[in-house]
Amino acid sequence: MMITPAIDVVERIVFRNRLLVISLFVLATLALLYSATNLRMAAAFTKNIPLAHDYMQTYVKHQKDFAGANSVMVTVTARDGDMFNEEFFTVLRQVHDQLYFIPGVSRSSVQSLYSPGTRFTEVVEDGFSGGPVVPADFQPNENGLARVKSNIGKANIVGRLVANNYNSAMVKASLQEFNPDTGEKLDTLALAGQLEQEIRQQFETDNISIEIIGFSKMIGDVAEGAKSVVLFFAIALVITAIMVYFFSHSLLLTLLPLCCSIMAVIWQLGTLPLLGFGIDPMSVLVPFLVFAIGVSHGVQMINAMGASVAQGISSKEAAQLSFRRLLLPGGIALLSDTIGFLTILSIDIGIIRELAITASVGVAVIILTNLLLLPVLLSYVKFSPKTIKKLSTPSPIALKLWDKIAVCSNLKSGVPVVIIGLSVVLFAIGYWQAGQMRIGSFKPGAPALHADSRYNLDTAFITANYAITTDVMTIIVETDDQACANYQVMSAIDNFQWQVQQVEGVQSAISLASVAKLYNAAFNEGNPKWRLLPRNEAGLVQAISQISTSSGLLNAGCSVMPVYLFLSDHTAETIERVVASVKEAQQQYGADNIAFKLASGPVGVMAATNEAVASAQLPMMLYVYGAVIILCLLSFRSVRATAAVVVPLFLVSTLAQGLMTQLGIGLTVSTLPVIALGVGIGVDYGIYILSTMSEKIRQGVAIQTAYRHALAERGSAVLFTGITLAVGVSTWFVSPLKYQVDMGILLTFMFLVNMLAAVVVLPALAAIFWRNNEQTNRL
Amino acid sequence: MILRVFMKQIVGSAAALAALFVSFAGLSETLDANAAKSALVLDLTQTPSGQLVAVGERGHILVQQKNQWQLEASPVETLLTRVVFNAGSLWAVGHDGVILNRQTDGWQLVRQDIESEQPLMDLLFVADNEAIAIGAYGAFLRSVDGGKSWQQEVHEGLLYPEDQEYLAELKLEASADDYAYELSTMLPHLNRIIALSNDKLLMVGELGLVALSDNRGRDWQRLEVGYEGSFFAAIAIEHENVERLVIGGLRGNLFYSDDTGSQWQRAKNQLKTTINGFVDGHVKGLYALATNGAYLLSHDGGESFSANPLEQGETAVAGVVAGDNIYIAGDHGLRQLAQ
Repeated sequence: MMITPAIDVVERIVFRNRLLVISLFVLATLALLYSATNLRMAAAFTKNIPLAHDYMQTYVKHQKDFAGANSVMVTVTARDGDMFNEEFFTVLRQVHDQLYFIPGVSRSSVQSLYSPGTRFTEVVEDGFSGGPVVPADFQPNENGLARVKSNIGKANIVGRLVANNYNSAMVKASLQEFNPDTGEKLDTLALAGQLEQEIRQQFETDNISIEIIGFSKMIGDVAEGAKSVVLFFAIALVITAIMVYFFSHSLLLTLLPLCCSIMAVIWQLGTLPLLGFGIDPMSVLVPFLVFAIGVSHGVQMINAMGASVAQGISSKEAAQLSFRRLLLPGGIALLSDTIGFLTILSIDIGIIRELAITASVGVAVIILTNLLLLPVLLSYVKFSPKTIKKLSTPSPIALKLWDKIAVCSNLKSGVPVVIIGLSVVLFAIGYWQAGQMRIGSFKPGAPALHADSRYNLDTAFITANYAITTDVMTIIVETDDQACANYQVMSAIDNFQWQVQQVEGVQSAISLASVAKLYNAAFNEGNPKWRLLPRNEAGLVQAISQISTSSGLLNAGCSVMPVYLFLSDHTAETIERVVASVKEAQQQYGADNIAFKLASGPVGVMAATNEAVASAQLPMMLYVYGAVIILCLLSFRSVRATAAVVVPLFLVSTLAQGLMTQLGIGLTVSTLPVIALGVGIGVDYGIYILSTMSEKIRQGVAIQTAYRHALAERGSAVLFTGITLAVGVSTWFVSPLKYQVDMGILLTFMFLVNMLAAVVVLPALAAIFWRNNEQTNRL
Repeated sequence: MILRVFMKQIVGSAAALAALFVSFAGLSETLDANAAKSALVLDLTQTPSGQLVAVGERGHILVQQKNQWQLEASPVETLLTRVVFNAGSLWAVGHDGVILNRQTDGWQLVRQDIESEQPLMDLLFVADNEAIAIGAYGAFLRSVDGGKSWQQEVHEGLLYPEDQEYLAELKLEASADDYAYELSTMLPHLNRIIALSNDKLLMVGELGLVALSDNRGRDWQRLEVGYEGSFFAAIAIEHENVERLVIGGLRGNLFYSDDTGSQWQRAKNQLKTTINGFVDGHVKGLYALATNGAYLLSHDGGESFSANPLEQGETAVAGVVAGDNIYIAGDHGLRQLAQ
């Protein structure tokens, strides 16, 4: 073993310079605490999308010309159901103006009854007549309101800018990812705050309600809810402290591991601003995980310490002994987490990369705080004889429990075979369920928020009262300059649209081609018998002459024309069906000078994200498990030992995925890493138990005895950690964030079931792997 | 030239596609029929056997069988504007000057003129073997062999008297080509032609055109209505034992005449949107189908109309009475009118 001498060296250096070590840690903590004060919550739309995906390349390429997927919709609604009154129109005008001036809003994209582009046209005997829907001299009196009402009918905007039953009107705008003047990145959360403060708070009255939806508002609401994470963190801390006290019977033994774990969190939070990161509202749970993993290792440390002290060894020697005994298994567990999380960096979605860094930094610092600093601190603890007595008399209940649990490794009793059999059945069920896990979000509204949250209620209101939907997929047609005057190209777009429109889940579609048909009829006295694409260039040019680039139907050179598909929902099934049909139609109608490219719009982004998330799931699991397996192989130098750790872990991962299916939690950017994090949580238990067992196995002890020994040494710490952390996380069930509730359920499950798997399945496997250990005497 | 080759390809592939559809008759047919049924449908008619037939965009021809709409294989992909039944056979006309006829082996393309891009708007059999097809830019076609072949006719009588004088002068001075060009630019769009009881024909069209012929459309006299906007709809109904003519056009303009067009009265109507077609509901009244979310109904033979809602933004173009129901066609597709 080359590692043991290395540990000896570290041990000597550290424990000869205890005060220096403590001072360094204190200084580092103060510095990082200061740095952590600069930590800001930061959210960005682009962080949530796989920018390298083909679809997103198309999305980014044309983002400037066509409103992308990041938009905001504000509706002003008359609570009594009739919008035609003075107060309503005053508020609508103010909301329009206010939104126009909010930084980050693309001003040319602001659309409402009050935007200059909102005009009506009607056919009269000698041509067209028309004007702005809200005339320049508009007075909100009976005549003025009646005129606007009549203009709204002529302008074909009901369902888009005005609600179907005239109880509400919309102001919408797209957002700029970068400020065109300063180049500064859009501050999504600041914008969300302004939407809430300067629009909703300011204009909502007893008569008028304001609904706001869009990614920025959603993430703002998530961030608002995420603030409660601090409260939940505090609750979990208190619960953990009380339980550690009951476990350790000592105030100091309670405070020290908790302080070291909190120190790890401070280091992690302080490191983020230094690396140039903020904390995303979706990743606020990671600090808690770091704390939890820290507590898990800290409890092992005080457990080992207590056991040594009970044998009458001095505090300093006991601390050194604990350090030596736990640095290797603890270090292996934490290192495999760190490397596992780091490998997630290869997944090309900003928010997952951030999470990979946040989590791996946090886990790596636990090696320093809880495996190094903690024993150093413990070496100063003076134990009263009373405490030593308490520590040295093992509880009779525990002894009985260990005897009972040890049966799991008694091959003769048949229990291991039963356990393995049950595990296989559970695995099969979990695997079957996991295979049915839904990709993406599939419920209306934002999955991170509760169904009855204001945001999701607003979404429901808008989809019920307007003909528009946020479930829009945009196909970008790239062709030659001035191609909109080319009948062949326009006809191909028209045919493409017609074909894709037939697909189940596509409710309607719009493109320059379909709108040009309406204009051709308009130029022929509005006669519907002229609703077709004129074959001649002059006719086509005339038909599109009235369509401006602000319509989003064409770019300035008329070389790019999107086809907007309005979908019934955004389930993965619908998205896949539409994408497949688009790919088919692409083949059919694409030519040298015309390409139909996937995809922009909110659902285009979802399509890319779903594909990226679905294809990232397997590699991510392979990386995380790869790291765990390699480090286990290196430390145990045994395939059987590695299998005994990894197999229960994999069983729990699979069951957790099955649980996601059962709970209706889809695999999204924010839920994707949870299984990987679960591996990080679960691997500790197995490694701690097996590292004690492996020593005994090497000595040729019968497996049941080896396991009984491991339980006596580490069982209480393992059981205790699993239960404590599960109780702490289960408080999340009442979180205002749906996302946190989901995570709470999954993490509680993983804390508990990983612990159970480590004390039940692991020994059963060991009993089979080392059947005749007494005789063979091998690891 | 290139356009024409391209069109031939389209027509060719459409025919191939149509053949494919016929061979896969069944499920796929119904799916497509559903799509076509909700797309733009411009006309529908009922055969004497009670079958409903409708035409619309992309050459769609829909036939109702046992309450199910079926899409029939169409030889064209252009916008069809009118379908009529005559002497046991169905006919359809549309853009690109197409005339289609259903024979025992399905729909056949009788005539097409892509170059001129002349949309045909109406078709009327004036005798067993004689038919007239009319359309935009004064298009006037006649067949005297039961629809097999069609000849262009020019009717100066459809022009305003001052235009007729100008053209008469031009005819003496200019070349034949120049004259023909000038004539085509001056002739109005012809929108609807109907047969009256006394062997006369009534035709309405662009710029206040209302014209009468008493020799099967060989000569036309313009009638004075007192409105110079376009007319799209015309119908002859029986009102108090007299044949009453009702015409409708732009911005809700409706007129009626009880003396075969000599004198016209303006009908009362508040709704100022274009009238696209009429349906004679007999006891139910006279329906005028209009643009943008409403239709009109008259219970006094077209003297006064009241507005009733269609679907939001819906434009109805044509309709038929089938039993107790009224079916309408328009930009929301084919549907029954709720009454």
